[in-house]
Amino acid sequence: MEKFTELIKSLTDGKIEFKTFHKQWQELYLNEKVYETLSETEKDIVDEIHNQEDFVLESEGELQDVRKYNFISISEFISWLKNRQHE
Amino acid sequence: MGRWYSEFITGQQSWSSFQGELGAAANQLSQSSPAWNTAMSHPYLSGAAVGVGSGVAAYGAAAGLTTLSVQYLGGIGTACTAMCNQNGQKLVEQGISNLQQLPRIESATEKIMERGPNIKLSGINNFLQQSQKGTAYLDNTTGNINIFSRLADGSKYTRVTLNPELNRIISAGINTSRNVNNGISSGRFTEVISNTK
Repeated sequence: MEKFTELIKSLTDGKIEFKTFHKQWQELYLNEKVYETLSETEKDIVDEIHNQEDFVLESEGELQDVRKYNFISISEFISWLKNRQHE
Repeated sequence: MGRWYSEFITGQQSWSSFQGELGAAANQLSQSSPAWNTAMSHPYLSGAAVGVGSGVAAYGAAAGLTTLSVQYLGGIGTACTAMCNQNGQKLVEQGISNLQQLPRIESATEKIMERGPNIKLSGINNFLQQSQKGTAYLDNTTGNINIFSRLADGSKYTRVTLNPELNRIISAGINTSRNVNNGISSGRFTEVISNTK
């Protein structure tokens, strides 16, 4: 979980761009050797973030078009992650 | 709670009196049923959304919404009672069009190009052909439709997400089997089309 946590913190602390987060998140999430080491609770959290991350859009123009389908902006995603960390 | 819809579907209550109660009952139901919530937010999905897996209450809700759609959606007729588009056509019966022919938002194309190679599915066509073999599920939290197709090794699924009108690919990705199975067992995903081929 440490790798996931570090990556999330890098994004929420503004140390990396969303594009970098997205790329590294996908690599981590799809790496069975990493995913399978997580506890069930950790997998729940990671899955939830993965599902939310799939609906983040960088393009403001595209976001306007598909916001009705539950897409969110990068800043909204970061706020969501911060709140998630506090829960 | 419980009497109002059973009376309506068994003919003990008139449409006009049912209408009067529906608003309050919908509010009550929406607090306890994600499927009902989706039905109220996405009336064209209503039959499928509430008709699967929720028993008598769901049947009553579906019956009420069927009538609602006839009353309020411009007289589209009685033929279309579930998964209806604005022209009154049944989306379930139509199935899902060849995914390769559906328009995609730009980021969905980027996701397919970027993520496909992680599971040895390079190129748009290969990813969509694999997805076309899958099963379509209504996401009760968003109203979107996810088509999940399990990969040969069983550990992951491809996912193609369509808008509720089933006419546009709005996202795509890869999910672990655990993630998909949990979504189904928790009731977040309701199967709507078992074979999208």
